[in-house]
Amino acid sequence: MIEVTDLSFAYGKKEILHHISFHALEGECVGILGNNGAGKSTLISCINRIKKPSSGNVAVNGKNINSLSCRQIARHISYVAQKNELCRTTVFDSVLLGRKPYFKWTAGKEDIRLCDEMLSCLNLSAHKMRFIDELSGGEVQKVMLARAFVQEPKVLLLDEPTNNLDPKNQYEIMELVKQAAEEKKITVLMVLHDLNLALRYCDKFMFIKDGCMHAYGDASIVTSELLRGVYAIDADIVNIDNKKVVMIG
Amino acid sequence: MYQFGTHTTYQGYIRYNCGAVLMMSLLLLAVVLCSLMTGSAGLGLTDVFLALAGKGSSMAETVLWNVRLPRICTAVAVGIALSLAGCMMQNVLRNPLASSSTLGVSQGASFGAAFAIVFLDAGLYAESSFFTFSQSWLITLCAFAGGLCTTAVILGLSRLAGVSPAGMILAGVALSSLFMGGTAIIQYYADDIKVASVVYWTFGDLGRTGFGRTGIIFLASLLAFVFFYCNCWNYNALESGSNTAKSLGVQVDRLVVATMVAATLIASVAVAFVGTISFVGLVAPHISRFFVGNNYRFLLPCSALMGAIIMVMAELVSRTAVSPSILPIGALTSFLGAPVFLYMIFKKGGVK
Repeated sequence: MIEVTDLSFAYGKKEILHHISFHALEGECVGILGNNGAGKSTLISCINRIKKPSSGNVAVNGKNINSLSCRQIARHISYVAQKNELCRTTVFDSVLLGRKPYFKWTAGKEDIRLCDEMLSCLNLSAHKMRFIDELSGGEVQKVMLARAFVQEPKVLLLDEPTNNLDPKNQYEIMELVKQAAEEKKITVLMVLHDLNLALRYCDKFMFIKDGCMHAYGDASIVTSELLRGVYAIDADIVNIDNKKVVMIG
Repeated sequence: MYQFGTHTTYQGYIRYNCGAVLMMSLLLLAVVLCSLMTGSAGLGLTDVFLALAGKGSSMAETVLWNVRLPRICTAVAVGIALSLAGCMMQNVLRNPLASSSTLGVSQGASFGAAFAIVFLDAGLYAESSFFTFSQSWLITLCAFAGGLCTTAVILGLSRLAGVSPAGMILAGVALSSLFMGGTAIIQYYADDIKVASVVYWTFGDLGRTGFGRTGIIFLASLLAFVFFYCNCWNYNALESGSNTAKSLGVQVDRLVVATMVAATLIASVAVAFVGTISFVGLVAPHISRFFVGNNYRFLLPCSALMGAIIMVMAELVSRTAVSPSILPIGALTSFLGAPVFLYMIFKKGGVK
């Protein structure tokens, strides 16, 4: 479970996030939505202190992360960035980095076993000794998820996890995330732009506008009026098989 | 050569990389032995071993202990120092072109040396065809101070003005140009002998140091290597970007500053003792990446060994190409390094 209280962030005097508060339960997937530049990625970065918030608290399972070291935070919260910087590193080494917060000196047998298991779980075993910069976009994103999962986090932060992926890979990635959230009881906060993908996979929705939380709740809050207020677009919401679908235009 | 997909297990991959480090160590040993045997005195392998053990002829011992070994040891130490510095600068600045020469450290050191030679009268005097610097320690200290000044300005910019790693490279280019301009002005107002001294110093010369100074370069490099190696997983994490590294528990800002200080210190020590030697710090890590990828557990020792191999080879060529004259080592490293670098850039997948 994660509880964010009164979180604000500013670049110098320019305030980017204004007093954001919310909580999410374990196993829940929260979609963070809003226009470009609204502050979604900044919010994610402030939660695990990649960026230092100007005020506010984040508590994971009741433990305030302000009192934790970087290494301890990494044992509670894992993160997949919007852009993956790819270098000449093997897939296995990339995934093994997820165990870094647990290393004593270097990777132990248990770390290697966990990575092997995770790679076979995500059907990546065949690629484990390949260099990561030779993989397709979908495979790279799976490797990043594998790294985030072996961190054994309580909270998983995903910044546009389906960015630049084809529809098949988008759904594969989202299925993996959803499955992990349910099975490992991880709270997932993910920045998404695809409203239908969010409606299909998220339990809660947070709409950010100009650095403020515009709305937060379950699927019932997603209405045409809300979307007009956040994105300034005309959209119809229709029900197909008891699931909401957004039709724009 | 690294064949992708040939390792099916992690243990196989680790064995391959350990093998690569071992092979490079053996190659360094072979190059050092070859260099010890080659020269106008014409020593055989047995002569070299006997002289090393103190049981050789007096001529062999004199040539080995007074001429060849000090130069070769310095070449190894400087190669290790410059390549380690280049390797780590490329990592923390997230720029494959980072090295002590592209960041202005070498140019800062040259400016310091020029200042000492021209204004503090630490210049050389000529004894027939040999050059000797009258106050070489003063030149070394000023060169070291010049290198450190560059480091201080770059780090100050990064900490106070929040300049990005890419901006730090640009700051290095600007500082290089500033120091080169400063050196040119100093030379313009100096007399002929002093100008010759400055130019001679910037050529780079392995013969200036004795075992004592080489020992200082070795010690500085060893301490830096231990620090770098203790942080190798942090550097691996940094390869995925600073945000990802932070999310994996790395204190990125602190690590970048500490690494830059250590890297520029060893580069400054090396340049201060032997003069400007470019390209080794840039090219050795890239050649090593070709064999062991970007895993710093193996890249660090491989880069150090590769830097030493390049320097010993350059030293050998400098001594033997137009014997009995000794060519400037700095020019030779660029001569040997540039074609290799160009080959790697244009060969698909060579430098990433």
